[in-house]
Amino acid sequence: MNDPLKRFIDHHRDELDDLQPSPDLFLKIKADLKKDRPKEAKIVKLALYQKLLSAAAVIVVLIAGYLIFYTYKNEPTLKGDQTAMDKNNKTNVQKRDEALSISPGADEVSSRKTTASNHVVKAVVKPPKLDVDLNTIYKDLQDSTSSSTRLAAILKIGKSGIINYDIANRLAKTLDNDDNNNVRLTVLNLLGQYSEDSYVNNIFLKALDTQKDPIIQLGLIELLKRTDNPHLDNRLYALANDPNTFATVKDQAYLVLLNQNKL
Amino acid sequence: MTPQEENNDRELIAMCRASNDLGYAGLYKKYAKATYNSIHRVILHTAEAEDILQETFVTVFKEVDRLDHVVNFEAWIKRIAINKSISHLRKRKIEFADLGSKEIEAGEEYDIEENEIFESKVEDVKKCIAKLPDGYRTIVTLYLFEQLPQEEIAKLLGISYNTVRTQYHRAKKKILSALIEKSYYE
Repeated sequence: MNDPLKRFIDHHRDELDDLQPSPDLFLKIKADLKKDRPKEAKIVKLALYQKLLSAAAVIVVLIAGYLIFYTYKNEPTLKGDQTAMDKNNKTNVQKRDEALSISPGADEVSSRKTTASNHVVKAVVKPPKLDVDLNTIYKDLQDSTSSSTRLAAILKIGKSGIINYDIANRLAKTLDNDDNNNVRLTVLNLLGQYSEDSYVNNIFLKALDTQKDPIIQLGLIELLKRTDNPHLDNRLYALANDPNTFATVKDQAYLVLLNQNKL
Repeated sequence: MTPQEENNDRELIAMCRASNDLGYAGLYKKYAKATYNSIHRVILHTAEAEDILQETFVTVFKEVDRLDHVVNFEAWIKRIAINKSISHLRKRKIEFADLGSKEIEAGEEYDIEENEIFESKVEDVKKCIAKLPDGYRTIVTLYLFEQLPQEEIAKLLGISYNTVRTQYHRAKKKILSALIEKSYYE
């Protein structure tokens, strides 16, 4: 290469590339990209909405038809059946009360207000199913010899719909300490259903400090960014500045801060 | 580009295709600065250069499904940016003059030694390139910074190879003369 100017440019390439675009340019690019997406989403939503409406209308007609037919057919014996139904209801209520008494404070979590958004978390407690032996579940959750037993215990908790501070604390311990990826991910998935609750939200925030698994860290950031926890920014900064943090987790932390204009 | 970087780009592209923001942010973080500098050298206007950078990334991200066939992402995005920059210059009514079949004296001698240019400051060289007329500056940028062959530059600008060759040599002479003049007065 007999061109001193070309050699000079090659030699000083990095110094010559010294300009930086505005920091908010990426947000503009994202906004541009989003402009196109909602149109498609709207079309799909409309189509889905119409289908749902049609399906709902058909179901209403069928139920109404069945009720009219059933009432007409059983009118003379209604009184007797009503007594039987009352009896059944009473038994069900009794059973349900017994189940609730197994898990005292089952609705404590749901009644707490979120510190961040100051609104009561709705419908955190799903209707509990019967035959839930929490002691056995707790025992299985601590079975260090079998990850599938622990996994089954977590799934049972999820299926039961029961959640209280005790369960949340035990699940938090499992999330932090369990050796098995699948177990930790299942716990995250289960607790994620209650991420808007301030107690669970704080568990996630603490877990962000202690958690070493990058996949769980990414999951935690994803769940926490949806809430308005005022302490999240500091934790994300700490995570992003920690030299031991996995690169993808750092990027995600920066991305959340960037999206919230906190950088 | 090392195979590792290529793999990394592939991962980021796969994330974009899954509509994961990390993919978009990763590719932007990696290539925005270099692409912006390439655009700015052609356009020489901060706001317009940012608009073109924005357009470039939006174009690339919208056609993310086509990225599967792209071997070198950096070269690809820079080529899109350069094409947009040249179109922008054309909108400004800037024409790349074709010297046609005129007699061209390209291989002129320069009265500057290699060590003299290497003593120049980077900032001075930048200023000298920025002061060139648009047509010369575009050719210098594409040849020296983007390392496009002169034949390809000719096709890109719609002028003859001879014109590119001559204009590059004239531009180079201007830059070197300006640098000598500067060092003489300092």
